[in-house]
Amino acid sequence: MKPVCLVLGAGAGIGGTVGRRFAQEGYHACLCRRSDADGLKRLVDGIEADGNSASGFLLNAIEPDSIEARVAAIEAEIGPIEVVVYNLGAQIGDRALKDTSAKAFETGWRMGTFGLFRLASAVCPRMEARGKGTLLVTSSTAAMRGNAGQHSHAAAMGGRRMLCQSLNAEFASKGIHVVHIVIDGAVDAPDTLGKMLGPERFEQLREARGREHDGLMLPAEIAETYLHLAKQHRSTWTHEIDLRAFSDRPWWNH
Amino acid sequence: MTRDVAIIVGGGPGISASCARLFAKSGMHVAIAARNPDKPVLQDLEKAHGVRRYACDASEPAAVELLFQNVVQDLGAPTLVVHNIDGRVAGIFRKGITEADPSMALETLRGSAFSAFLVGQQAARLMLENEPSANGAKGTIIFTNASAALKGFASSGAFAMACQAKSGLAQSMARELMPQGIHVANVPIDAAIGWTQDDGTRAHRLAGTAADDNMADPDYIAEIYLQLHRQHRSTWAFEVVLRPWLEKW
Repeated sequence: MKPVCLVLGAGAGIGGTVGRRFAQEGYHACLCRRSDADGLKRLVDGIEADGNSASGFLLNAIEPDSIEARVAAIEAEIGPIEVVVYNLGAQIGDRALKDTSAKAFETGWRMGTFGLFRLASAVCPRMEARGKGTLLVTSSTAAMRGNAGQHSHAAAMGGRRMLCQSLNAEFASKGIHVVHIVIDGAVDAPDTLGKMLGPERFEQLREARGREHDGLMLPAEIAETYLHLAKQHRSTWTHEIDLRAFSDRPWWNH
Repeated sequence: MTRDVAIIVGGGPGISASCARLFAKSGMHVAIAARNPDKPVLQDLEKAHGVRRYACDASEPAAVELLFQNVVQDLGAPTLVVHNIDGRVAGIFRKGITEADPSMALETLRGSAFSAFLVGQQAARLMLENEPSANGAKGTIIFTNASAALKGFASSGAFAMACQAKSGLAQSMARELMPQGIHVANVPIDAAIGWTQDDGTRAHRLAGTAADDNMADPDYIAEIYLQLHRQHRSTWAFEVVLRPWLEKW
């Protein structure tokens, strides 16, 4: 039975690409995303075309019991979850406080923070019983500083960062490696940045900063670091890491 | 592809030796510099892995300049430089602020942050002239740092100021050099480091023998340095804090 790499938030950017990279290393990738069954099938088909194994599941992380039931089913039917990648974004674009509804704020928190809490509650006891496991948590600039218009997103991601620290404090010594990964820049990802900008502006940005300029973060290269983090020896773990393109300004210089 | 040239400044039995072994095994030309290059561990690195040894007091500007000139002549221009000097003088350990000797505090700063500046400056001057590699990078500069980069401990003022100065230098260099194709990383090791002894155990002179991976194993730290060097420029890490799974922090 192959160990499982479970990805929540598996679009065509970091999530799906990290799943594919772990599948190449012998994991069964379980890819979960909220919508776009066709896009999900393309990701699974791509992994299978590599000669590796994957399953795809539509999963709404805001619904009660969705995460918990999926974790239980995977453990029962597919294999032990050794690596989880929590890759749900909660970016809703810049909105002034008066334009940020209570509902939008709460949804941001549910995706940014509460979903990770639920995932950790479901997988950590299983990992603890096995004495090992890895939680790779994708995070963002907003976890480090609250920019204008980012009320919902900054609160959600700040909460995500602190939850990661608290999880680490409880579970590192039980063999569970928790990593908070600050993606401090724009990712060349069609399902997130691409949808936010629309096809035309996304192409313009890729032309100006992406492609051979390497100014947009490439998911396949980010995935190499995720894999390396999962392989770090327990005598020398990193808990938080910041990644950005060489030409980009980091969060503390903005 | 031309071979990487790595320079490790600050050489002993821990991170530097592990890096030298791993870098050499990965096909790099490796230079290691220490005030005393005749330490047995460094001689062993030369015999077993072809690592070249250099004498250098890295707190002396002229000595650092000469070191880099010599390495360029012997091996070629560096593509990976590791500054790995702790810098503390023996007499400064566990000295409260009222009793710390000012000249020792200054010597600690010179050994740590000032030597990091000198090494970083020479590395940057040379690397800026390097041809970019296939992924556009001209080189990697890694600063080994310590817990004191993150938090000032009691009776450790000189070291705290040295480590935080080194962090500031690393951050500033990263901002200046990363857009020019040089990856700069600050790596605070928030742990005791236990290297493998002749009898196979791992130990630290103060923290005792490692049990259950409670101390950082420098062989694995070296793997992380190598991964930093190999990261693609579209996704470079700047600060990587390392600690054992059991570490309290």
